[in-house]
Amino acid sequence: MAARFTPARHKRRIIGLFRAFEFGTGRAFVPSQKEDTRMEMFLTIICISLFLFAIMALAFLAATRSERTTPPASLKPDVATHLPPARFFSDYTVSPTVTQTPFPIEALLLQIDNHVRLEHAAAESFLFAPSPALLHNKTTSQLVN
Amino acid sequence: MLHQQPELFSGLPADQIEQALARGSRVSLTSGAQLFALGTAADRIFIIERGRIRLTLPMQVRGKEEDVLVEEMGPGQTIGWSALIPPYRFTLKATASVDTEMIALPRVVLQELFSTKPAVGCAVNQNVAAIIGQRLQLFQAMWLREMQRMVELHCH
Repeated sequence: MAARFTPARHKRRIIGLFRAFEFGTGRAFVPSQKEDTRMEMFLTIICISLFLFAIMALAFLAATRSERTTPPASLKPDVATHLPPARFFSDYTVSPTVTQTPFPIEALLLQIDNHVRLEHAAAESFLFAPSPALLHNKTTSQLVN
Repeated sequence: MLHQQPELFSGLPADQIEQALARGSRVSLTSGAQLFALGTAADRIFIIERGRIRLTLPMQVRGKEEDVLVEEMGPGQTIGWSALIPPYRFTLKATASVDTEMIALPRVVLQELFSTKPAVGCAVNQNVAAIIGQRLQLFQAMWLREMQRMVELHCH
């Protein structure tokens, strides 16, 4: 016959449960020292494995990321096709923004001309009396200042 | 008649210079006229008598090909030494800055002169080597200065 539910009995049962948690029951499993060491080893191996797996995953992501960020050649905007063909000593692409600057090309060419003359003169004076100072002195050319 | 001794015949006596120049032909260019183009066959060497010659290279400036000055030569200086050095192709473009007069010496004529007068040949070859060497040193220095600037730009 089932025991009848009374508040006092219920209270005793709850207190008993707390005590069981606090001190353990007689049938509770108490691992031995040897088993404890095995468990520690097992957990250590799992932790190291997880750590190594995480490192490998990060390395894999880093390697594949650089491949993904570089678009295939066919998808790149073909700037070079809109430019004149490469010529002797001038094999480079020109940014469209550079070609749209309002500075007159004649003035730019004059600056280049002046720059070459100044550099030529500097090089000549270096050849006349070679010294590192003459080789590295600053130019007054507007092209580079 | 040249007002100053041409660098190509430096070290030679005046009579030999006269004899060599007499084998050439006079070339006159008006301002802006082209003497030779880059890549064309070089069969004559030129000595500037009067005026100035611009030596240029093509450069892309804002997407357009422009002739950019490399060197400017004046009276007494030699242009077109490529005519004496294989593969006998001009490596620059030459244009007259002002009205210019020159003496053109064909390679064939010079080679004949050198075979008959080896001393002239030796002197001319030495002078050509000096001209080329000077240009090399000059452009070496110019190149290093440009590199120096590039390095400074990248470091700042």
